[in-house]
Amino acid sequence: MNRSGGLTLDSTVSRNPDQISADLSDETVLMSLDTGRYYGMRAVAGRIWELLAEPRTVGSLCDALVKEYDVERDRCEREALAFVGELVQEGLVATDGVEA
Amino acid sequence: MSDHIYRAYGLCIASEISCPELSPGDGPPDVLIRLGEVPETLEDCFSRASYYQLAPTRTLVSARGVARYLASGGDRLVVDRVAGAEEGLVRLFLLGSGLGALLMQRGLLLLHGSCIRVRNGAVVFLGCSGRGKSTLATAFHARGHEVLADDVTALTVSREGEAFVLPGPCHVSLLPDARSLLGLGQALEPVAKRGEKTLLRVRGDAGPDEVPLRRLYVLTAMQAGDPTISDLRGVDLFQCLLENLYRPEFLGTNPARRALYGQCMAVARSAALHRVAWPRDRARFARFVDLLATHLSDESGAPADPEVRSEGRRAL
Repeated sequence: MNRSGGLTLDSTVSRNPDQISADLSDETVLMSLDTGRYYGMRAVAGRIWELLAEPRTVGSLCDALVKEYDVERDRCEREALAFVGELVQEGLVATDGVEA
Repeated sequence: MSDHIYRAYGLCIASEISCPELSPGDGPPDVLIRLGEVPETLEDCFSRASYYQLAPTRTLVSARGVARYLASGGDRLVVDRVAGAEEGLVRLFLLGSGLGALLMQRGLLLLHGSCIRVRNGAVVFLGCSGRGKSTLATAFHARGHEVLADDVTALTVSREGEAFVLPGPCHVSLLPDARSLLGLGQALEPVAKRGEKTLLRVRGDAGPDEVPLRRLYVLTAMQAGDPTISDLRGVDLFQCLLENLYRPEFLGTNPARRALYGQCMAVARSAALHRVAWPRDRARFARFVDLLATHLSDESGAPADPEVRSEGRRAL
């Protein structure tokens, strides 16, 4: 089982409703209404955000990513867990057992 | 006494106070401006600072020694004047923060900037006070462009995500040195004085209710050298819009913030934003305006011809 600060491939993650985002050609802009912080997400990060439009497990996120990108499963899982872990820390996504 | 009827920001305004800054209008009023009593404190206030208080459907703006203004429900503005206050100053805050609070209650996005009309829409100049927004708008007016806004540019976003400018009062407010820089002399009709600044009429009538927003320029200072123009994209563009909002502190609630940030994102999607750094160099001001005029026309692929001005405005 892969771990990343409590987050696993079986963790279900969903977007925090108190945020707003838009696709601005070069990058996706995201703003947290709670913290007032905003972020720019390019390339894969933007695609991951898009794929999280519906709640899903990190594992299923990786299923989609390996189909779209030329990346090995192991590496994909490690990096997805790390990135989603950051999103949880920033309060942009919630995960079961952890409040966003 | 009957009301004065005006048109601005796509709204019909009926006012007990005469406001020469606004264009005449007609029809059933959308907004009423009344003289009356405004309390010192709002009972249901949830956020405040020295000059404003926010309550669920009301915003109180306080200009010390001048007046208190209460904007409520997006359609009513009450003005409580301090005895002996200078009329021009009463109107300064009325048409600035007072009307600003009201327009925000109506869900408009307000940017701190001036706005001119070009052939295919509107161009906005952003930047903090003293950066040259009004001077630039007036310089473009001299080249045949309509000025749609001077200090506050009001925007609305359609369901399809397109941003439109709603033209505001038809004057610019300039300091004496800006007037001489532009060689204006007596050419533009003065409307009123506000302290050191003079208000000059730049539009005869209210014009269209809305004009599509095409691009924005944020003006920044530099010490010396040639002006530079660069593009802002993505999150930098979004950040720039947030930094140039008019009275963002008047947004009290999360739903209001969500709506506003959504509008900023729509603007970021539909309009181009450029950063312009220029030395405040009088000698080369005309060349700087040339540079901007060229930039305005080059990128859109179509020349940014000035809108033909209607009669009723004086030629320069």
